[in-house]
Amino acid sequence: MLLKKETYQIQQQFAEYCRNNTNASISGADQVRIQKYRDLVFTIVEDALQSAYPITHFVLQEEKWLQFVCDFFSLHPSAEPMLWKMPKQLYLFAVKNNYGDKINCPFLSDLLLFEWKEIEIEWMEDEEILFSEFSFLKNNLETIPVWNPDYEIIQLSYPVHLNQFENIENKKGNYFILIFRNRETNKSHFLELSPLLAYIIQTTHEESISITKALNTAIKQHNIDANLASNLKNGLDEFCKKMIQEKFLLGFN
Amino acid sequence: MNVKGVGIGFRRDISDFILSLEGKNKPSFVELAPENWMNIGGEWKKTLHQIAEKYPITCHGLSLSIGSPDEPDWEFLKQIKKFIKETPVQLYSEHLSFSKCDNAHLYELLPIPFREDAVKHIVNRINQVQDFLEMQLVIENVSYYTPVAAEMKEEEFISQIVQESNCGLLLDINNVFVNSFNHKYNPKDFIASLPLDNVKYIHMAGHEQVAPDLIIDTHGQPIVNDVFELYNWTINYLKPVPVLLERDFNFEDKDQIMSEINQLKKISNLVWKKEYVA
Repeated sequence: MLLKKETYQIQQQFAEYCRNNTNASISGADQVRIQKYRDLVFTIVEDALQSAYPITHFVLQEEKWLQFVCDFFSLHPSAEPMLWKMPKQLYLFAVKNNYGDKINCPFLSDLLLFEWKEIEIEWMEDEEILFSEFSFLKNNLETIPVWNPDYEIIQLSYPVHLNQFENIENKKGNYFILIFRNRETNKSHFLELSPLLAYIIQTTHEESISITKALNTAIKQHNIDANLASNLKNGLDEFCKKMIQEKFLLGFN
Repeated sequence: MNVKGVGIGFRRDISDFILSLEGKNKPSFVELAPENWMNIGGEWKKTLHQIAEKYPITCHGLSLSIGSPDEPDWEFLKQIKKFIKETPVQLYSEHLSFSKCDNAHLYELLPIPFREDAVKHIVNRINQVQDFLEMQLVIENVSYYTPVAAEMKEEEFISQIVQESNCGLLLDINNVFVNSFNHKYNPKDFIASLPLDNVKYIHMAGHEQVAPDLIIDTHGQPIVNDVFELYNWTINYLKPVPVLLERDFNFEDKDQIMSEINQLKKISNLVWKKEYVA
């Protein structure tokens, strides 16, 4: 390395000060003006995080939020060069450190994941549609559905998507949320799914099989009786119609 | 499309405004931060296509961290190279600062110690980046509020790096003004001591005085007359290069922004004659 150890250590000290706000005594620097850098750095990071997580900010309220951001920034080096992607690091930090438990907010990681995914899906690179030709004319359950590829299904333990946080600790369960970007408006939307629907969307997409085939596999795996299976099939027909309206189901191949 | 004339920084808050400009009001080019526009899809990708169809594009990066003690982030540079080729980008500039250390990004431009070993280190890094990108890198003199462990003058530091790496110099006139005020030196003497033949690009912006002895480089206010005057003086010593108005926030008064662009065009026309600005 062409950089001397001493110069490297000064830069390291300076960067650490900006992240930790401790030990401002940087060699050869104005001890008052150096604080400007900590202020500038922290403001940029906190602004970006608050924009990405407005609900989390509201739920935690100012004092807890600021402590959370301080802890994150000082303890979690962000290797992400793009500022708009940096907020994902806050989610990763919270999960890695069980931060929600530490501040008595067990749904914190779920809330961060939900808020982050809305951004990520809205900004994600345009995925190619797997099929060049598709239409609504075919039998919708017997042919391969062409889902809007700009989507993700996340699994949550708390229903943070309902935006009602009173007594949410008592509502622990399995919640499957579909988040997708409408290809016409380019906005992200979300929808709660049953576990079966989540399975069907993922399986039909990943394996390029029909909804009926995916359903039959689920019926076999879970020993679902014939009456219930018939009801499920009817329900799927309705679900497909709704998803066509929502622009999540683009057609059938 | 060649880049010349007076351009404006392309920010999402004024994307519709910039896309709507036509005729005499249309800036000659736009500049964007690649980190805010690469690896995206959806609405903003469409906007990027629209802007690329309408304007020549320059890029002004934020996260290369050329003065960082860390190794260059080759994966990031690969993405930059792809973006430059696909968009396409006519000129890629970055800051003579560091914003990353020990693999932690700080998202702000920190001053590098003005030292001989830092010069050697940065020259080597610029050469690596230029070789990888297969294009000249243009490096900006940054504003700073305190020197850090400096062993040489700022102008010597910049000059050595530019001359030894043969990179371009992005001369930010407002940054020179801000630094000359904050560190009490003569801005014209400073500019005269730089390798002006290497200047490939100029930035102009507003700032805010926050204390009797401190100006912050905000990019949020109108350009002050002293900075216009310094620009007028400086370009007499330069070959014509593209000039950019940087404004990062406070976009309400569009007429005022347009009048700044027109003022820059007027000064450039007077000094550089017709060979430069339409």
